[in-house]
Amino acid sequence: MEDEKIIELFFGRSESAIKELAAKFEKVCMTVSMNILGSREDAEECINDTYLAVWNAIPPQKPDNLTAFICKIARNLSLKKSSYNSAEKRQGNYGNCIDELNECIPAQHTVESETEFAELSDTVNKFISSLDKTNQFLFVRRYFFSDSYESLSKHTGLKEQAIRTRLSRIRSNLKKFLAEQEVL
Amino acid sequence: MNGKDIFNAVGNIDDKYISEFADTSKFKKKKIFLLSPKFYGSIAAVFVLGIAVFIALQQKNRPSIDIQNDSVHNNTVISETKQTESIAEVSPESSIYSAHYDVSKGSEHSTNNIIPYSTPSKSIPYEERHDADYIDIPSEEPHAYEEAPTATNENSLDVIFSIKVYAAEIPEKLSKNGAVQIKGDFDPLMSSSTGIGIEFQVTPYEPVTLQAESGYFVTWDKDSGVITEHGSSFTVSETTDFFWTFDGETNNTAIKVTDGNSVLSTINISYDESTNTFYAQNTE
Repeated sequence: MEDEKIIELFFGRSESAIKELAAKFEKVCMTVSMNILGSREDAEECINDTYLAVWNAIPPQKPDNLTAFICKIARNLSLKKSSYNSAEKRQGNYGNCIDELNECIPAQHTVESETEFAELSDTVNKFISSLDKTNQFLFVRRYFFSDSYESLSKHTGLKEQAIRTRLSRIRSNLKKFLAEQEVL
Repeated sequence: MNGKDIFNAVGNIDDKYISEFADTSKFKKKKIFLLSPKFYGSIAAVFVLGIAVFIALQQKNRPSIDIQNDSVHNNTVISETKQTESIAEVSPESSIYSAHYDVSKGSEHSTNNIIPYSTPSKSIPYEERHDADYIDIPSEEPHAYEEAPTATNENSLDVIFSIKVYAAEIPEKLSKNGAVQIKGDFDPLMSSSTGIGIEFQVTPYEPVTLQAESGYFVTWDKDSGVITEHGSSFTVSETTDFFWTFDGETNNTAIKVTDGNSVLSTINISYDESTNTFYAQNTE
């Protein structure tokens, strides 16, 4: 089904909207979550949370790119879940206590930090646009979808070592680029 | 700023990159299937072997006489396209002849050796044919030769080319009884023979008579060297060769070949004073 029709179903609050969304995006969402969490159960949980988030976001939002929209939600939820899992694995109850106390402190998101984050995002976008297609693919698949080197090798047909080398050069170039843009 | 910040920033990249690379199958590179040098070597070896076999087959199928009947011209068409040691088997019933084109004579006054075979299954070796004599082809016959060879090799069959000869000078009636072969020209002063040599091949039991308007026929015993005169009329009942010679007054004359009832062929003999030579021409 076309993305626009799925969005229309969400706007119509149709129950089939979730079904159509899952039919089209379950695979990519599973990839994102599995790559971050490494656990199928956690990934499925994140995907269900993603569908719920989309249900709550549309309307009022009407995303132009539904694929990117749902991938970003799945990625953020997976990272959140990963942080939570990491906190649970801390020794004793120390980590949990810290997290509980963090709730007492106001959020550190200031206007300045938000501006810096937006500026960093723009710089990264510029940097990606300067790459050739293969390097764009490698960078995005590695650092947005969190693909493994093995997976990238299957996707591109390049050897893993070649991919490691390429990504190493890309990171080096990104460092230079961020310095040139005075982001660092 | 640390790696986590950049990782989070990557999470905010342009939507077009996410949607473009979300489906990896669209990006999947086509693998270039590079074959090993051994494979290319094998291909080259097979190619060379194929060429060798082709050349070998070409050598095996060197040009020989290819004979066919041309129904359009109502003549026998002899096509020289292949070379073999023995010539194709022919039979008078099918009116098929083999022919040898003597390129050394040139196209202006071309001669042709035409040998009919009375025994259908008999093969004539190439060497025998090569030594055979010639019959003049009328120069006014425009389609006597479809194409004139340019080679000057005496052994014309060694030359790879294709030639079609329309044996129009052999009358159909005569072909049933045999064929006349005239052994070149006759120079009374310079020739070593006693006249114009004529070899007449006949099929068994069908004798023919040659009647000369002037001059007379002679035979020559090669062993004893004795020349026998036969007069102006000579009956041939078996394959033999003889000579026609002039009587001192002959210029242009004709020899009629009959089977007793009808004229099968006429051999016109003309005398060229400038060269002091008699020329024979077999006509219908």
